[in-house]
Amino acid sequence: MADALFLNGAGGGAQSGASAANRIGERAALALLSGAAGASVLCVAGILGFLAWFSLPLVFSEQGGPGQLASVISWTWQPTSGHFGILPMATGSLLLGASALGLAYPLGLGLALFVNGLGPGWAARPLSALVRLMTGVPTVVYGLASAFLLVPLVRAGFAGTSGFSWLAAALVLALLVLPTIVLLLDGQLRLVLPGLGLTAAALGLSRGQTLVRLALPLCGPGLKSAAVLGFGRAVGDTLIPLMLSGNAAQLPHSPLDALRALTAHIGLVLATDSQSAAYGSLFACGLLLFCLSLAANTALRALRPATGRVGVRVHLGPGLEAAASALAWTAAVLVPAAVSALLGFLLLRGAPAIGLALFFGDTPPLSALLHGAPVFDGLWPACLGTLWLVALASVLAIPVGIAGGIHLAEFATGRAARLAAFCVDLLAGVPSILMGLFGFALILLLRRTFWPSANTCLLLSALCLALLVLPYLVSTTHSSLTGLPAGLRLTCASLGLSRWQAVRRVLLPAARQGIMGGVILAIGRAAEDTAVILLTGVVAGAGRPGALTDKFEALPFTIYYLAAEHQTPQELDLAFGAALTLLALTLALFALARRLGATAKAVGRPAA
Amino acid sequence: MRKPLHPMLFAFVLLALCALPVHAGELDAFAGKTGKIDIAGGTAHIPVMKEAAKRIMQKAPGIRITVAGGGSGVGVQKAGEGLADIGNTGRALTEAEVAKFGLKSFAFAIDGVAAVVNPKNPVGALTHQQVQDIFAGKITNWKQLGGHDAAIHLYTRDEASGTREVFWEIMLKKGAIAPGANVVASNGAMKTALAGDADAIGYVSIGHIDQTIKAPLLDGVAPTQDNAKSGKYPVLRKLYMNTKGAPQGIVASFISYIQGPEGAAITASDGYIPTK
Amino acid sequence: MTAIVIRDLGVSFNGRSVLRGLNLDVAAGGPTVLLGRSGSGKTTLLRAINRLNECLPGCATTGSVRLRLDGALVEAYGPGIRPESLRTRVGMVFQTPNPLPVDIAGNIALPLALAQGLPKAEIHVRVESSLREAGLWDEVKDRLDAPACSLSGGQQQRLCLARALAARPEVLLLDEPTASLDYQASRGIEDLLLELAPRYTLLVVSHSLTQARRLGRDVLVLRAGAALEAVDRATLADPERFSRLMDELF
Repeated sequence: MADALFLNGAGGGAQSGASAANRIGERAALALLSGAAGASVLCVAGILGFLAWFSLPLVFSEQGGPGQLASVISWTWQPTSGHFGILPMATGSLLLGASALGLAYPLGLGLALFVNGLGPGWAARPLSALVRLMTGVPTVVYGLASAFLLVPLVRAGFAGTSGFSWLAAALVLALLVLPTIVLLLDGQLRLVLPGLGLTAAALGLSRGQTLVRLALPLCGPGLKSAAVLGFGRAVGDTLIPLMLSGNAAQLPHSPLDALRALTAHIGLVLATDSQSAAYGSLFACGLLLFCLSLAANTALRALRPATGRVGVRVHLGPGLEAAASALAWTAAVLVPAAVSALLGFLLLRGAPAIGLALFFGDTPPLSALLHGAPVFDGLWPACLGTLWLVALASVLAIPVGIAGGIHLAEFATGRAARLAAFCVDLLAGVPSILMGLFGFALILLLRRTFWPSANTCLLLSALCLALLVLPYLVSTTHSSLTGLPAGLRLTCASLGLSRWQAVRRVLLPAARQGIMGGVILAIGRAAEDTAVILLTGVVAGAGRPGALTDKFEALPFTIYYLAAEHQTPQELDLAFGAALTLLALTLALFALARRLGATAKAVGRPAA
Repeated sequence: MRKPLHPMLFAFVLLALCALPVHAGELDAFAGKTGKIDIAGGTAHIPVMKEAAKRIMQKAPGIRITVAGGGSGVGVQKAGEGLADIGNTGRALTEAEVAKFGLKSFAFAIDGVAAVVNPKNPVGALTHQQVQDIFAGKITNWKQLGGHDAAIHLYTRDEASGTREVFWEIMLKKGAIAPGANVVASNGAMKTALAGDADAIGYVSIGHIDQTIKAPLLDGVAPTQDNAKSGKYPVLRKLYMNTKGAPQGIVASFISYIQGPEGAAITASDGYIPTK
Repeated sequence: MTAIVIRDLGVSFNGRSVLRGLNLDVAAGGPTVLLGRSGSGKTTLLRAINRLNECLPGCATTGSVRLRLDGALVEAYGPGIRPESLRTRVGMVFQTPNPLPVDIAGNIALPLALAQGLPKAEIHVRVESSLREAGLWDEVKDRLDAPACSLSGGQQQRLCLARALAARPEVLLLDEPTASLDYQASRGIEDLLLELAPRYTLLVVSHSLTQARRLGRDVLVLRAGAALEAVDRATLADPERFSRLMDELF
């Protein structure tokens, strides 16, 4: 690999043009890089360790006997009568994941086919743009729009349901997961079609036949990967189940019943006596979620397509093209309709609220900006909080992430590289609420050991957010660098540059755009996250961020909080205005990332 | 690619400058008090806490007060673990809690908990038994109570809630709550849910009742704070502030403020009954 | 008898014109060899005949292309003709062997099943007959379900030829069919084409004058997308005139 090209590299003396000081600097740099890559391994180990440690009381309880474990693996959740069973929540998560996937997968497949030839050529670009737009919508914004548009519709349309139900949550989760599936399948099809297109056309096959009979089977592993990724995302989401599913800790009898997901359970129940089984059950939930991510990740790795052309078995049954066409057109009509309805509703409700009063409430804007006058009933503190949060998280994550990516792409070999890569993928799939749980547990641990006054705060949230976005940075840096033409490294070697020199002076600048794209994506992800900050220090009324060890406000949480418990209609308008602001922010960031060419790998975002 | 970055960078720097944390430079002319108070816990308390915080922060910008919810369980946990300076509860502390965490309680208001429905619901009065049966899932349709022919949508609180505990103990006499009930996380969320669902029934702190929800008569008694004060309405609790050990510094000042005359005025105006 | 009649053909991509005012008569059988510099539009001309240019973005075609199918001259761009059915009657072999990513038998069977809807028995017959015609049967008859990409370059190109032949076309278009093959394989394909010439109309684009000399009954030179010039066999045979033509063309 890169090794063989640099045999003379670090070993060369004066002839390679590197002075002794340079070589020491280079060694230090390389050490830092491998340390950064090791960070991802540490993180995974840390999270797993914490979850296991805090679940220990379940198995070994002071009160004697392993009875608590049995009480957690049960079907009843009624803490007041001593039942802490998490099985209803586990079932809830699985049901939601499966139903969301069941809705999103066919539609996603249909859209991918539509965009690649089953639909009219002029529709391909707008639809692709729409799907990319969907990836930029924060989860909490989907939740807000759905809570006030979809839930009343479900309530009105079906008897006997309050609207907060499995159905509502599954529908919106499907919408959330759809872009992942579409973009993955579309990417695969685009890889495969150019090689096939003219050949198949010259043989007299129609576009539909080419797509359905030849291209799609070729994407076999990609089809399965999309399913696994989609399922993982649906199971890992916190906010949609929290806002839309009713949160009843039971097994639903029908899609119109309420249910509770593992992620929402953690978010709801975090605050109980920290020695009790209820608290321990949270970590059992966390462990369960982590294992689900692990299983999904392992499945994805097993499905990686083998290199080289694979022989394909083709079904010659009739009618496939007609079915595919019907699916494609259904998807092409339904999905834009649903998205437009939600976003249109948001615009309608939110646009009237836009104005200086949205941000500053009653306080005159200038005195808030310049003199730091406190703002009540305005979004300004939350905007500042988000800004600070994102800035801090970026400062923590960007250097480590880019360094880790460089190491993985250029210097890592053998088992260490595979381990690091595996950990990065695993980290990317971990539900964000687990990051929050980890942060909260970390604080408790610190308080009991060497830092008794530790508290949930801006710094902790930033740290956990940094962990959340770290995998993106590593993997976009990695793929930007590996996407450079191999000849470039050959050229550097032939000119006598050392490995580090080549990386620093030639490869990094060449990959600059892709890396920037990854950075911007990470920033966007940090800005919209709600689940992590929910558990690590965000509050509804904190004013401007003070010190790093203070509580703070943030836009996504303000939206969630106001949506759930606005006291007045004005506060609800504030929520819609905040949603529009956050949406504008994330869309701008994603558009910028796209211009800078962020790679498709970043599509697999974990849920909020 | 270079050009578009510059205005963005400028804007970012401008924003960042405005975002510089409020620190030592803010020693305005006030009792020279600075510091912070983190309050967490009961959601019934939030309106009072927020109003008091607003007034104090406007008078003394050096003080930062943050108010979070979470329910009474959160209040106990956070105050007990020292994660919050004041933990609010809507129920009295248990002996175990006091012993374990060494918490001190300060009551500042009396509040009732009432079963509430949507204003469009014609049902205006319920008996104790009916409420128990509704929440247990035995009565499932409003027409059984004289209302429309519509299924009853149940809403309840999470287990950390003091409101829930009081309702369950006193109103439901520790009876079961149907497992299919929707769970919401605060009094405010309960209000929002009920205001939006015409066939809903839930329960809130009486101080939270306004024109967006309706409290039917309970055994002929209207759930108002006056009836609560006089004892006619039985489902009552006090609102407490709790601290770990004796409160110090501005936390002590805050507690005295709430319990003092101005605090009592805020409490009353938010719909609660200040304790003497 | 002329098999292909082209009048005033113009093809442009996104406004950039590749072929202008082209006239061409191709006699039945052949092989007719088309020569020209790189970029002179040979491939585009070939693709205009089976309407494959329409699969490329921004293409605009003017003029008339008539083909003799079932004895009568038919306008390829006429309203009554579907491109897909045209392409089953006008076969194409590409420069780089492009087997479908299925097994050997599947490469032939799939297009027959999908594009022509033939029944299984008929497909079975044609698979063997076309492989025999292409001279590949003896080499692959025992491994018909092996992946097509496991064949050598020459074998793959024969497979593509067999695939085109299986559709029983009347015209075969070959775009530099031996460009990516070694000498032996090339000679093999050329001999095969000479064998097929009596039964099919062959239009071969070639990059090599020597191949044209060996192969072509008629040789045409395409200059800059507009003019087609016939080269008579005498020129090809005479070494001096041949080398002048070489210098001029390449």
